[in-house]
Amino acid sequence: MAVYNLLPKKNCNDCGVPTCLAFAVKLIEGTLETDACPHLTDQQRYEVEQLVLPPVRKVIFGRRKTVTVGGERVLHRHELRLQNPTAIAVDLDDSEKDQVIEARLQSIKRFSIERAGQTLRIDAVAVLSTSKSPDRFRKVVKTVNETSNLPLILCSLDPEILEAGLEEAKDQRPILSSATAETLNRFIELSKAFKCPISVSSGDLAELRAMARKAMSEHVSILLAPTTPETNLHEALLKLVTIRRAAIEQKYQELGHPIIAFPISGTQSEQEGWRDSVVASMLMMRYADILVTHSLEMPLLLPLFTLRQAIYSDPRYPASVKTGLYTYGTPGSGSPVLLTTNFALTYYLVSGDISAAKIDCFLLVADTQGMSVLNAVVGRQLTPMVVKDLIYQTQIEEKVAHRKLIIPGLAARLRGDIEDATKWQVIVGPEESSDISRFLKKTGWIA
Amino acid sequence: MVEDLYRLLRPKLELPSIKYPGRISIMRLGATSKEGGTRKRSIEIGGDIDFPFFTLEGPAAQRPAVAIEVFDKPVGVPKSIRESLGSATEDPIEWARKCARECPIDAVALRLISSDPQLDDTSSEECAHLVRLLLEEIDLPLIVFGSGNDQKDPVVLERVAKAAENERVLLSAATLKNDYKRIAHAALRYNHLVLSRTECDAPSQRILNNHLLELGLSSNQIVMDPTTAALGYGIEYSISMMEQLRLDALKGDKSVQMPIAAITSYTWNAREAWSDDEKLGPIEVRGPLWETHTAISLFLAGAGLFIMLHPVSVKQFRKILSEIFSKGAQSRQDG
Repeated sequence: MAVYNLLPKKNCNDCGVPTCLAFAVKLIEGTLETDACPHLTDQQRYEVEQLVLPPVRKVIFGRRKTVTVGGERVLHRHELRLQNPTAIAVDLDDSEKDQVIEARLQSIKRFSIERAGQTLRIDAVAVLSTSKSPDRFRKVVKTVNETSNLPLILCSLDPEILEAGLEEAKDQRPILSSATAETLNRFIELSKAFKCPISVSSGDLAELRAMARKAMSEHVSILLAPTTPETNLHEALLKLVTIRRAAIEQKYQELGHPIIAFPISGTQSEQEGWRDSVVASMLMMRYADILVTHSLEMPLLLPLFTLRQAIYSDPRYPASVKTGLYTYGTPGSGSPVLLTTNFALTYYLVSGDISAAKIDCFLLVADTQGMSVLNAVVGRQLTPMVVKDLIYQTQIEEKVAHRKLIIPGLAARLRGDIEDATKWQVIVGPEESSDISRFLKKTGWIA
Repeated sequence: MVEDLYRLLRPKLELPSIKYPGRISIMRLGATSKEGGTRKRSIEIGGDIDFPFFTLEGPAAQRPAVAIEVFDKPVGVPKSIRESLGSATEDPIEWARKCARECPIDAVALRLISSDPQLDDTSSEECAHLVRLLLEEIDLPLIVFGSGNDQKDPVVLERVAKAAENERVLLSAATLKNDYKRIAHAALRYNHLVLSRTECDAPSQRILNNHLLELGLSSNQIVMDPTTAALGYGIEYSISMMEQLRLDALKGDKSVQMPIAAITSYTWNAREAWSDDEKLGPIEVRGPLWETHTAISLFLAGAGLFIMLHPVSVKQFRKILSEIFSKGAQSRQDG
């Protein structure tokens, strides 16, 4: 209500929401920002922002490409949603030979995963000053900047080395990682001079909080780095959880900043790659906003990206997949045609079961606005007309010689109506997708 | 100098310690000779007062228990598992024995899929016979799944309950669609436990649990299975369902204060776990890791009993668990 009272109350819809009250709700949830309203004075905007500030501040870094992290309001996604996906950064060691660095940058650039309609890529490059040489660091930062437009995280405990790197990334808004109690003042100067965020590091949460307070008093945008190479996994998770709970449940403003974590620490050998991957998942599940990983191997990163896609999806809206025609195996003109809905979970189950059973077939995915079969039948999102349009749009009639459609068992009552609307013969399939293979065998579609 | 200044300025830090009124019940799976059964050891599951890592005492009240799944008939067992275990997958007892020897497991989960009327329709008598054999050959606590057939499962599980009297077997599963009363009565009469299974829906889970409680089971005889979806195939639904159930339980809702099971063997339906697609990287690494990731995420969401399929996933999962439960936690000993 306090937010609403500061709004113009014109209900002008300029922000895309019909009423100012609804806009206030969106501001509080964090789904819309104050910029959406063109009628606020600077003073009003400032006051509203103070009221709707998320308990975990947002940090934006990078220039040609930018990444936003933080902005979180809840501990569990079902309570609202998780806001800004964990940024996945890959490390780059400046003591490696030039060719190795070049090759690694190319691999980072090439790395991409197509999944559920999204292209997933590496979000940032973390340049590590292992060489401890300002000149070398500077040269490597230059190379990275020329090769890639990804945001940078410049990693060294020595501010002079970071400054050398910053000379090559002046306007690129990299993160400076990490300040300790001894170097904090120098980091704050660099942050002000180059307008970039810094991370503050300490294994001791009270010290971390004191450092954060100091940086905040200087209006510097910060991230928290509560783990050191000596931190074991148990302590690391305990620290991340404690920080996030302190920020969200107890409103400790000094701990209300995004967390950067380095699951690379603890690697014992090459065979332990799987461990780093699992550790990264755990840190992501428990509030790491930036993860700096070492591996670029697909099987190690794929689960991490997939988990991120899952937990950062919005639980308030049913997840849906693209409607249309999906093919499995190498279907021919006599292959079965099945129908399901575009509710993601339904689709994944059906799709998984069909794939696992290695069935050659066509799957028509109807637009039920993300509703499951039963709900879509009751709620009339799955209707004979929807099926008729789908048959038309997918041109399935040109792909199969028969006119037989297998519908989900839970949609059995639509059988007659779909037959009337489409002139296809409708066969009622099983209620559970796990029975599809058995059903197709029983009805003679497959051997 | 500067360092000293920070030490001096250090503000007092009160760590968050929300004490919830609710607590997850503790259930004991399997029974030793002292407890009236014949298992070499029994295992405790549950007892949590918060989410993992939300209390300072330890990651969780107990190290999660891990069971490996064996089938009475090796249909539909993923290639990767068959390759890993060889001919052992053709016989459930060999399968269980090999895993018990080579993997750090706490229990065995037997799936009586051949009892499905549409498969072999194995009689409940034969199923009970296999369970007896397994109990004689393997001294670990046992979980028994029917085939998932709503009509047949209660009949099979009732007969199995009788054959395994006093062994505190987890009968799986009671659902709102099957004759859960019959399963609950069998568990009460022969001293067993019941898996309460629903489809990712908190109200249904509450209803089924309440039915089971009304029938006389206590909350330390029930494990919830709110459905495990694999990583990439709806795991977010499982995570949120488990977190929601756990929060409600901690806040005092007695109808959901039971430990939660995660059946990560379903992971093997995920394309990423079995596909030969080379773009996704070598399958030997990718497959087991997919199940490990699914398990670890659900552990953090609150699950305490894991029913897994791939021996490598079991080893990886247990390795991570032993890392985080190594000190500070009053967990059961490894091995």
